[in-house]
Amino acid sequence: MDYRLRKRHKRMWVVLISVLAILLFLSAKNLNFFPSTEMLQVDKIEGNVVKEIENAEMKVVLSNTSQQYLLNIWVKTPLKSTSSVVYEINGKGKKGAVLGQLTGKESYVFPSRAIINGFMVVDEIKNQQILRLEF
Amino acid sequence: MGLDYKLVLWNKHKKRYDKIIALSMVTYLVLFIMLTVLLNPEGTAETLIIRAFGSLAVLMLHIILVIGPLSRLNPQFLPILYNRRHLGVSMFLAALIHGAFAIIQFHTLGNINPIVSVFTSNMDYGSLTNFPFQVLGFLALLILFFMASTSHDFFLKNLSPKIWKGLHMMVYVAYALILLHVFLGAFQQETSLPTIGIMLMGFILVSGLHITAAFKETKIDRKTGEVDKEGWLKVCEINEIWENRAKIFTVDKERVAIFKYQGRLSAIHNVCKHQGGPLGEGKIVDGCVTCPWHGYQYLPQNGQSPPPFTEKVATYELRMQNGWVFINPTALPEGTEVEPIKL
Repeated sequence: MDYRLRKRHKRMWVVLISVLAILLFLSAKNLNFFPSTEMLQVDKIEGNVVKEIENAEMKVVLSNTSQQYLLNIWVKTPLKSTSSVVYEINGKGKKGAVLGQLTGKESYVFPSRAIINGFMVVDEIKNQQILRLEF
Repeated sequence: MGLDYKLVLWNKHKKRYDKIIALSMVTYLVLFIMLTVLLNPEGTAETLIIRAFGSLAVLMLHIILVIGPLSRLNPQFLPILYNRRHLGVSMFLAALIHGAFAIIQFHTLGNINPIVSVFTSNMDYGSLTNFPFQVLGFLALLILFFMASTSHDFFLKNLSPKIWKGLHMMVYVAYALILLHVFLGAFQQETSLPTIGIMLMGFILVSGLHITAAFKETKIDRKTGEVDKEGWLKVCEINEIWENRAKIFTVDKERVAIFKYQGRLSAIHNVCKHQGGPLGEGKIVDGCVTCPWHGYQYLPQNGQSPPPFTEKVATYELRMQNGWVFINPTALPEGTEVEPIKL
């Protein structure tokens, strides 16, 4: 490299390091590396807690108000399936009505007029049952 | 060295280098696929291909980017610089497979043009953490395509080494785009400390080496020597230069290499006409100054490549006084014959 290219090379790296360091810092700052258990607390749940189940992937709380049952789901880890549809398990232990859909690491509330005995998560694209939980 | 762009130097070293590149790539892919199948058997084949080739391209880009500064900081790394272009083209192919499969998997099922879909499927351009990271990867792939397609000596010759090298510095922009593409893309799906750790270590390594090498070069550029009444620069004692080797000096911000060979001294401009390699870090082979990067050769007394080649570099006048070497800082036109100093 001659003098001009050496100078350009140095300037490029000074700019790149400064810009990238700032962008990486800002984006990492917004990411949640240590999900707080505060998010999973039951005190925000509407109604009275009926059942509670927790494992590594999710926390599920069934609560009821005077008008309806509420299935509260917190997904803790990323979903590996392309489609994750939540069905209630009916009285015969089979797939019942659709309650909703899980799209990622979030908290969900699915209301139901009738008591929920359990639920299953189904990948509709692959037609596979991903999870089944009964209360 | 090539004449009329014929691959006359497709020698056994290049072939061995290429075999090592191909074998290493295959080994990486096999290991990646085996580990993924063992640890995450639920993944699809398309996802596996996208991740395997994407991570391979990122790894190769890091290797490519550290070769240059490592060679400037320590000449022992020069042999791996010899065929870096092939490594670059191989990296582009890995990135292309990654990009093509990603576009097929995520953008071909709708009724929008897949390339348009890359730019419009996620319009969250105002967010940093939800930024459409695929756009960054696509732009980086365009730069890598441009670089791979102009990597041949034909473009080097016709664009001139200075312009060619300047354009190929776009790889640093591609690196920045790829870093953000991986950083934002991976973290939108999985926030893991090991992933961020590896990416940050790579960034610190690459940028640290480049900035260290750049400051080392600046320090050399700022060196000034003693000038005599006639304006000649006093550079060194004669015994400081080894036989068939050179010492490099900064003369008017440009580097000049003074070679000692067969009881003579000659000075030529330090920058090779091929890709700007440091001639003074090479040695005299068969009476010619041989560039350590790609083996281009020049006659030390006139800076001309031996016939039939036509490359020429500037030459400088030397003088010896009481065992000290003096150089006239005014460069002579490229290829000018200068009588070597006899020792």
